[in-house]
Amino acid sequence: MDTAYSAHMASSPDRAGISLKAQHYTDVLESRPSVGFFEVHAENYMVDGGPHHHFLSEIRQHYPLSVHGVGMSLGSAEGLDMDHVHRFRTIVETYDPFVVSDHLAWSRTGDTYLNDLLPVPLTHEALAVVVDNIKTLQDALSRQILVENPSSYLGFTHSEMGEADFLAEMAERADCGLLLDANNVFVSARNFGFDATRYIDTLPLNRVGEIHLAGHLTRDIDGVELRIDDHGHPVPDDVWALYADIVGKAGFRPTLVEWDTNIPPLDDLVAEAHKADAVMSREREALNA
Amino acid sequence: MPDLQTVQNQMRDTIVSGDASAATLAAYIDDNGIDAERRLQVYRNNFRESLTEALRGIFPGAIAFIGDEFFTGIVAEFVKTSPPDRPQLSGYGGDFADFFRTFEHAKRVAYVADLMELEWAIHESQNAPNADRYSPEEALNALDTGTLSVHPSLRLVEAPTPIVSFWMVTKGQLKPELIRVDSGGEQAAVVRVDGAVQLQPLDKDDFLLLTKLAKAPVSSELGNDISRDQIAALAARGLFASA
Repeated sequence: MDTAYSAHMASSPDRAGISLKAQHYTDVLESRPSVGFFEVHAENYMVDGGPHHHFLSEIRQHYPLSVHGVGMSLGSAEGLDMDHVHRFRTIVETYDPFVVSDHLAWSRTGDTYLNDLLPVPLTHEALAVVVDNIKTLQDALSRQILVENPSSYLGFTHSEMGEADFLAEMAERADCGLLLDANNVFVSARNFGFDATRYIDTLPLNRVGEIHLAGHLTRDIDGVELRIDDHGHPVPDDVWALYADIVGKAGFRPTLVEWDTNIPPLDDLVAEAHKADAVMSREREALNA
Repeated sequence: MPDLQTVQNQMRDTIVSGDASAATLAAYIDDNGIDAERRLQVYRNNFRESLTEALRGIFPGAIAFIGDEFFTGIVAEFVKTSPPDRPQLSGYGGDFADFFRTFEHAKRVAYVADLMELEWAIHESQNAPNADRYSPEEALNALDTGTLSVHPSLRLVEAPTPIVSFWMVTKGQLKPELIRVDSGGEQAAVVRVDGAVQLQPLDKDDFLLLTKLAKAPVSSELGNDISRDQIAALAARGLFASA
C-alpha cells in the first residue's frame, strides 16, 4: 500500500456507517445519529449547486465520508471517460473522503451509458483493461481507490479465471484496495453455485479497505432461484454470518450498510449499522479471548 | 472468443433495444440453469426501470395528468431512442418533452409536453449554481455599470398553453375543471430563492426583458432604455445575481 492510501485509512472510522439518502438530510442534521460515517454516490453530487451540496457540506462537518462511484465503468474496453474522471476528482477534492471506491463492472460503451453495473468477462484481456483503467483513475486522483466485487446474474463461457482470482490479480497489478461487499459475494455465490467462504479466502484480505452490507431479493425463474442485489431490504442472516466470517479473518474494516431502494426511516438504517458494530465487537472479543 | 469491446457493444445493443433476439451474445453466456435470454432480461429490466425511476422524479406533474402506466410506457420507448450518454443522470431527460410531443400515442394530450418543459426547468433550477441574489438597489447599481445578470438558477418558460395553471392543478391549488387547455399561453420564471425553487408567473414584458438579460448582461448604454422600476421589481422577486 502506498502512503496516500495509508494516510487516508489511518483516519478511517471505527464504527459502521450508512448510505446518505436525500430523504434523510434534515433528519441527519437534526438527530445526529450515532454512526461512524456516511457514504454517498459521487454521481448524485455532480451538479453545480443546490440542496445536495448544501446538505452534504453541512453533514460532512460532523461525519467522516466515503465517496462511492457507480458510473466510472472501470471495465470499459475503450478506457475511462476523462470528463467523468474530472467531475469525480472535483467531488473527492471538495469533500475529502477517507475512502474512495468504484466497481469491477462496466456501464458505458461508445456514447451510451447503461446506468447499471454490468459484468466483465473474466479474461486476461479484460484484466489488463481494468488494471489500466484503475491506474488512470488513481493517477488522476493522486490516491488509491477501492474496487468492489460485483453481484452478477450472468457469467461468460469464455471467462479464463474465477472472480476472486481476477480481483486478487487486479489489486496486485493496479496496486489498489478492495471493497468487499458481503452481500454481493453471497448473491453471486448463490447465482453461480460457488463457495462464498473459498471466494473470501482467495482474496488478499490485507487489501480490503471497506466492507459493504445490504439486502437483496430472491426471484424464482422457472423453478431456478436467482438472487437480485436490490439494496432494498434488511441485511439477511446469511449475509450477517458471512460478514462475521470476513471480520474474523480480516479484522476490523470500515463497514457500510447500503440501502438504495424502498428506503426506510433513518432509524432503521442506524439500527442496521449498530448490528454491524455488535458483530465487530463480538469478533474483537473472540480475538482477544 | 469475442474481445471485450465486442461483448460490450452487443450487450449495449440488446439492453437498449430491449430486443430478446441476442443470439450471438447468448452464445457466450453460461446459462447454468437459467437461459441466457432470461439472464439478459434482468439487465434490460434494470436499465429501463432505473431510468424510469429517474424520470419519474423529474416529471411528477406530467404523471398526475397522464397516469403512471402511460408515462411508464412512453419512457420505455424514450430510453430506446435516447439512452443516457453519461453517468450524471441529473442531466438526463431534457429532450423528453420533445419526444412526448411527437409520440404518436400522445397526440391527444400533447399539451402535457409544455408541462414537462416547465418541470425540466424546475429540475435544472434546483441543481444550478449558487449565487447571492441582488437586492433592488444592487440590481440597479449593476444596471448602471453594465453588469446586471439574471440569477444562475433562473429558467424562463413560455408555452402556448396555461402551464402555470397546469402546475397549480398538479399541486392541488386549482381544480382541473377550472382550466381550459385552449385558454391561451402563459410565461413563467423558475428560480431558486433561499434554497427553494419558486415558480413565478410573468407578464409578457417581464418575460421579454428577462429573456434579453439571460442572453448577456445589458450594456450601460442599453440600460438607459430599461425601466428602473421594472428592474427593481424583478430584483425583489430574486431574479438577479452577480455574474
